[in-house]
Amino acid sequence: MLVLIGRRIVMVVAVVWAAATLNFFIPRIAPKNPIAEKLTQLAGTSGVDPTKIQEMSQAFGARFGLDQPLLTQYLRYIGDMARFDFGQSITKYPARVSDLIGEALPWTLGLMITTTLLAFLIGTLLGAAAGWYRNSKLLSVVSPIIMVFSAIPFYLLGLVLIYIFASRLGWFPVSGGYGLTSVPEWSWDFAVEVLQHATLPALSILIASVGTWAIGMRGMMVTVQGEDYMTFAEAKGLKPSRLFYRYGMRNALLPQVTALALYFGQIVTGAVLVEIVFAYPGLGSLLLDSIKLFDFPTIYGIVFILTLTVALSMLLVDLLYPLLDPRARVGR
Amino acid sequence: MTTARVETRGSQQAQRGPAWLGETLGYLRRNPSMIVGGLLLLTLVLFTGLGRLIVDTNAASPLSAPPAQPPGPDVPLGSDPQGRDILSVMILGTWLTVRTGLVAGALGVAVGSAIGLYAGYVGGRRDKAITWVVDVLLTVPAILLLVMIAAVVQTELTSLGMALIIAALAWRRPARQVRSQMLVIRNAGYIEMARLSGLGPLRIIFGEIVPNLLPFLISSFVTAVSAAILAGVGLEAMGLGPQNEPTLGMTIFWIMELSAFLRGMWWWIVPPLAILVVLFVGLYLVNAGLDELANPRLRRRA
Amino acid sequence: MASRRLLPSLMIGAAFALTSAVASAQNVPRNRTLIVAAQVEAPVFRNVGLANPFSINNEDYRVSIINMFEPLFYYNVTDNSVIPWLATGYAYNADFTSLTVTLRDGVTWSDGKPFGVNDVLFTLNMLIENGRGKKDLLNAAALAASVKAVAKVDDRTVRIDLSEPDPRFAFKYLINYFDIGLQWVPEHIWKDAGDPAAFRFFDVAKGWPVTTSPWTVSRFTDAQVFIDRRDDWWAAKAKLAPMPEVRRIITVPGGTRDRMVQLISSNQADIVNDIQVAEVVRQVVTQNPKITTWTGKDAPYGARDWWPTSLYFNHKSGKWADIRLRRAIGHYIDRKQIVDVAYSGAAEPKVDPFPGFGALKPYIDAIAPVAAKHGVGVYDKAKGDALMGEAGYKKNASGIWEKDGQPLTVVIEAIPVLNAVGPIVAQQLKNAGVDASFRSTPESRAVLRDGRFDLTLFGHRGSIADPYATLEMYHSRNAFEVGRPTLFPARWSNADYDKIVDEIGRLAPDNPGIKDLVVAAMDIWMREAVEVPISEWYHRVPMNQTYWTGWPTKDNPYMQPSFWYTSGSFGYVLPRLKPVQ
Repeated sequence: MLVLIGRRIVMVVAVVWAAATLNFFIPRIAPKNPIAEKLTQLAGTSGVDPTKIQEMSQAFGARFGLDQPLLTQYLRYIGDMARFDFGQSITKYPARVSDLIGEALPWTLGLMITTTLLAFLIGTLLGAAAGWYRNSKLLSVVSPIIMVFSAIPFYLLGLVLIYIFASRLGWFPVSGGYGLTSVPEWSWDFAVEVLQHATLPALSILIASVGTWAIGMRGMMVTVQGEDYMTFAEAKGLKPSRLFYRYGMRNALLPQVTALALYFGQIVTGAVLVEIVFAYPGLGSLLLDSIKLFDFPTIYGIVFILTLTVALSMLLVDLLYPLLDPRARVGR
Repeated sequence: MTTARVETRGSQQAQRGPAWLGETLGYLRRNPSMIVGGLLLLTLVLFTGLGRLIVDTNAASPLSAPPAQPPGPDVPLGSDPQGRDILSVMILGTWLTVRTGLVAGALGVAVGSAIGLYAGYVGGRRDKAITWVVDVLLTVPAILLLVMIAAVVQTELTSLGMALIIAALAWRRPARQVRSQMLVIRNAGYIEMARLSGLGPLRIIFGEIVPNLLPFLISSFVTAVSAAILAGVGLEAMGLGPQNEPTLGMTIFWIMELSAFLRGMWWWIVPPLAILVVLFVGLYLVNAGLDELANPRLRRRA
Repeated sequence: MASRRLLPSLMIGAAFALTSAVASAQNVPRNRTLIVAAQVEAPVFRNVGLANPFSINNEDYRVSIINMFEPLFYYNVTDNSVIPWLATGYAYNADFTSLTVTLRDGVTWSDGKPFGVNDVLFTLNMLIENGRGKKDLLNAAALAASVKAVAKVDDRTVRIDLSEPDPRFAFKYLINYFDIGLQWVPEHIWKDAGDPAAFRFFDVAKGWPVTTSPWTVSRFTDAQVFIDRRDDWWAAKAKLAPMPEVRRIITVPGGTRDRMVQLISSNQADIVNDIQVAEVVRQVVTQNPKITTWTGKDAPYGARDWWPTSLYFNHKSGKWADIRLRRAIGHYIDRKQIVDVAYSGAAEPKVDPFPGFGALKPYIDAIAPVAAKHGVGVYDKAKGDALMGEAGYKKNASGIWEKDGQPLTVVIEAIPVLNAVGPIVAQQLKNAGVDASFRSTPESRAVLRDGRFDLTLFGHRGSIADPYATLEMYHSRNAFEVGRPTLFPARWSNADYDKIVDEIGRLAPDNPGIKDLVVAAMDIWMREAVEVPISEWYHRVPMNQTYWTGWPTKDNPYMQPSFWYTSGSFGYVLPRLKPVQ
């Protein structure tokens, strides 16, 4: 058993290292200097002499090691990632990348992960029921409605919700994490305020993604129903609810959970537009900004964390699978 | 069953028609979602197909109509603030968006399945290596790849180009899934038989395994098309798409960029959303209708 | 049992109560708070805790804290008046190789120490040293190139010796407007700062940034900047300005246009950044009676900016070498249609590259006949077709102009603010037979900057009251080769034009002889069809009068309309805002 875990961990490390290497070189495909990009952007609002961009870029190059050969930069990068030392951002110097990520992470965790888990739970239950009770009248009405909403991208649903509930009806705040003039503190009032501001973004993500999970689960459920062990269990005369939970759901759940683990890698990029529409300061918009400006350290930091998250969740699933499904216990 | 066939062939063939028609109709009767889904998709195909013949799709360019007009006699669906005739945009855009989805989906599933089939069949170290490569590639965020490619490829991005880029990202998941399916089937009895009778791996894969996996592959294709369209619309809405083509995603980009919500331009917001909804719901229903094909034992549950 | 749980809950309860109490003590009532929604590219501030005026990453500082840094001179473009502030005057010597600046007496920093000659000298020397060495501070390289030496003349006077005669030096560095002008830092703090490019100059406990204004930063997070009013200010003591009634300024990131509109329409913000879309601003001012703009409730709902837009040719790429081709393109552009469609009619077309500010009007009027003579600004497809024919182009089967088997295919690069205009210009060219497409991606800025574009839509900056700045942009020394970054896209050179511009450069800005030289220079510029001018650019900024009035407007132009822009001029406006309630 330990050998199995050990091998899996080695695989994870191998994947993470390879991913880190790949993601080091991808932003370098285009011969870009992040300082030049930043100065170009800044020239619109400040006294950057329009003709001195090259000089200033070179001046900063030395500070960030951009003038070193690529291989040297790569080796330093691998060493830094291993120590979780993401260094300082180039285009937001002297801000540290870990600080930038640290500021954005709570919002992403709070909003995206909470809503994803909620959507997963609701969607999976709904999908399982839809797959099992295929003749139910209630489900044949509810399912299409959910499907229609899940066909609309999150951010558009968000715009519609803002327009109806915030602009027109004024029930919810328009955007942001908390009120313009409020100072975050540990108080009941502030907590309520945060929840108020999170409602619309959460709702739009929830409504739009419940459907996806439901559809996946329903598919799995349908497949499971056709399996021999189901027929056997039914023939044994087991109660329908027991059939549903212990035989149906439990087996259909496994691929669904694998999908969830893989989904976490996509959450951040999927959330970019939601964050922009709702002015929500999460990792998605930080990643987009960094990519646009070729801010290598920040890109590397965020992507590394994403890679780790995906790899670790896949590891977790791989380790849990044998516990849940005896068929997978026999070594391949 | 054989008896019925003989009877059909013999005396009742004239009345009942070919057997496959009967089976198809029966299948459809048991899986109404297939019909509904098919109808929805057919409506869209007719809309865009016939539309391109009847309506002048050049009017999907800016300056074709007075800007920001609500629906009226000259402009059935109104016009956007840059003067595009929205009906033309919808007709052309639906076609462009669906084409992107089809190309990316087909390529993605084809390439992914090939890799998955190969990896699953050969097993061992080669399989491990391929799985490792696929897992590593799964960690690359789509935005990063798209912006970097745009920075390197200096020529302008077209919707076909975008389809290729999405395909480059779309093959990863089918590869993993097909490989899992292959692992299950590989040890099935008839495969063992085929191997023992001396058939080469390619013949086994394409002769025995793929036909059995066909329903799964079709379902996978439909899902891939749906995912590709969603990804395409998302990237276009962020402004990273083919900016000179009136795709549905670019329409959404302009809606957000030119503040359609604030200006109350409902005639511009509703059509692309409605078409996207019809498209996704249609694809989903078709996929649901393929369940039984993938798993014939479900027929009993009707 | 009960007591074991009681104590912790009491403590938590006390902590809640305490923090709530503390938080409310810091609260300033809404009617004494000014809320500003600033335009930043991200939904949050990304350079938190940076108050260094010379760092290249200080964009969050530039929309908030910069207004605490008082300049030597303010400048109001509406009446071309220089307003002495930390300095009382400046004077050039006879041949413009040196100038002396006299500082005002009695100015103090927020920590009580006096502001004086040593602070000005320190700032200048720090920048010059950096400009000759590391070059990583804003303005340093340019300043080091212009200045030979600085010296203290006496306790109130500084002498700056220039490396070349420059009658415009004061306007480039000492007078603050738009985004031009230096900020002055206290020597007694900065001399121990270490590396000036890495120095944050921010510490709430120490009261940093220390400035001469009546403001201090009490909070700077990724979502808010709180700037609170202090109790003493040298200018109030010297009766130069009233003590501000605003007790707290809260600057938040503005986010998308939709969000800014919603914030100001619901009276949650008092001023937001440029809304740009004329139709949207029109709705905002009509629906909420308390909201006004520079031009009140009338078009163009905002003020002219120093950024008139043109379609630039890339003169170094070889594609546009034939002047007939350039002229033809000029005839294919219908400015009126662009103004009607992209700006809903609320803008003015242009035939020259100068913004229509009052002080430049005489020059613009003088240039108008020159433009007419060369056919600049004339929309005439027939004329364009004739020129294309002369240049050897024929329309091919698809209706595209073709020469030697090569169809004329162009890509128009644009930056996101010009998204409304790009597709329209591209379509106009398409309708005329040019295979044009427009592109506005993260890559476009780089393409523009490195000179790898075919055509680009861009603005100008440059002149405000003195035509030299815009003319100088087209001097051949600014025509960088393809690949070398510059934000003067034209890359055009003409020896005769250079001579005239150099002569203007030697004359003082108020010399009446300049007008004829300008007309001569523009004669060459227009004859050569250097670019296709399109329209004026406006900043459509709504100002909400529910809580504060006294904003500068066309009817009350005590400060220029772009006071909120990154120059610190907002600091001049703040004491003059009056509370409504």
